Amino acid sequence: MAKILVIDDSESLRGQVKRDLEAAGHQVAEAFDGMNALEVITATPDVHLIICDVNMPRMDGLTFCVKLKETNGATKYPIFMLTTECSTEMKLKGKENGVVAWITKPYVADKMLVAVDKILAKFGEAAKAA
Amino acid sequence: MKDTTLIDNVAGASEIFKEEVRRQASTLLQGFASVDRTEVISATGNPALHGRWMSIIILAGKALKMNFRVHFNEEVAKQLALKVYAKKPEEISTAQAVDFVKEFCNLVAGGVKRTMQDHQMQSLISMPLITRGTDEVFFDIGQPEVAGELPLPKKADHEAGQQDRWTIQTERGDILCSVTFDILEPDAVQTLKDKKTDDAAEEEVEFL
Repeated sequence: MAKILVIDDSESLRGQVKRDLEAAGHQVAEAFDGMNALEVITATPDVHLIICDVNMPRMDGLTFCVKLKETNGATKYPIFMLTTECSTEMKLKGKENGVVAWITKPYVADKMLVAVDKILAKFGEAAKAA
Repeated sequence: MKDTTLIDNVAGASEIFKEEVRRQASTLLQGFASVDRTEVISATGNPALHGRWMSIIILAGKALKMNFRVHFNEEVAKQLALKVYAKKPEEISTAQAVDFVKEFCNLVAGGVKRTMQDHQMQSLISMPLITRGTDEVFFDIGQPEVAGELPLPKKADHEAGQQDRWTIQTERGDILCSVTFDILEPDAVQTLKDKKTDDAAEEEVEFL
């Protein structure tokens, strides 16, 4: 099972996602905005996947993706956006900066978990091949 | 001379939009709070008397702008949030209860935004805000008499802001929702009735 970082300024949303991921056997780390997430990543770099909101105070999710790419490269951490935002422009900007999947809130737990498994499988294979 | 076609279009679009916001709020509260049932009841009376807390979020686009509000009290918020936090109500802090309602507001605005986008209407949403107190600071726009002596200009009927107010009843308590909105492109908003999008909770994952 994987270690997944969940970034959202809403404690209630983080709690819901954490509960769903842990029920599926994953280990979850949490961050409350992009700036906090950069600190968490530095402290726990062995994260396999990042689930991230867009609209957050201090540092939003897309800025976090840009900063993470600058320091770690685009492919080290696959990023799965979980947000109320759904514009094509934002998705394109995300894709340029390491975002591999996008789900618009509210999410269905089963579908999110299937997507998480697909991403982990794809990037796990990529890591083995590298 | 009044433009009756425009007035009719705004009135028709207004009813469609009200129905959409009510549908989103009811469906999303049921899912987020994991309650067995929700019932929507049109609200009457003074909203200032409903709870001490209010969460508000703003959506704005070319076709319409709205603010959506949830009026609630802390005890009900804790009841509704207990499954999200997997805690008993007495173990949930005020901050956690408030966060739950803020996120609910965010989900409703996000649902409306997505439905609008599905009908080629772009919009932006704010972050949800929270306030508390006993005064209702959001008076009925377009009806200056409600604001007492404020010398606000009276708008024409089709320019006046629209509003709706309803209670969502659940087995764990009730919240009062209200929405105030201006329809700027009634023809575009009318298209919401043409093709209902899938249930908001059925959104697929998009791989990029």
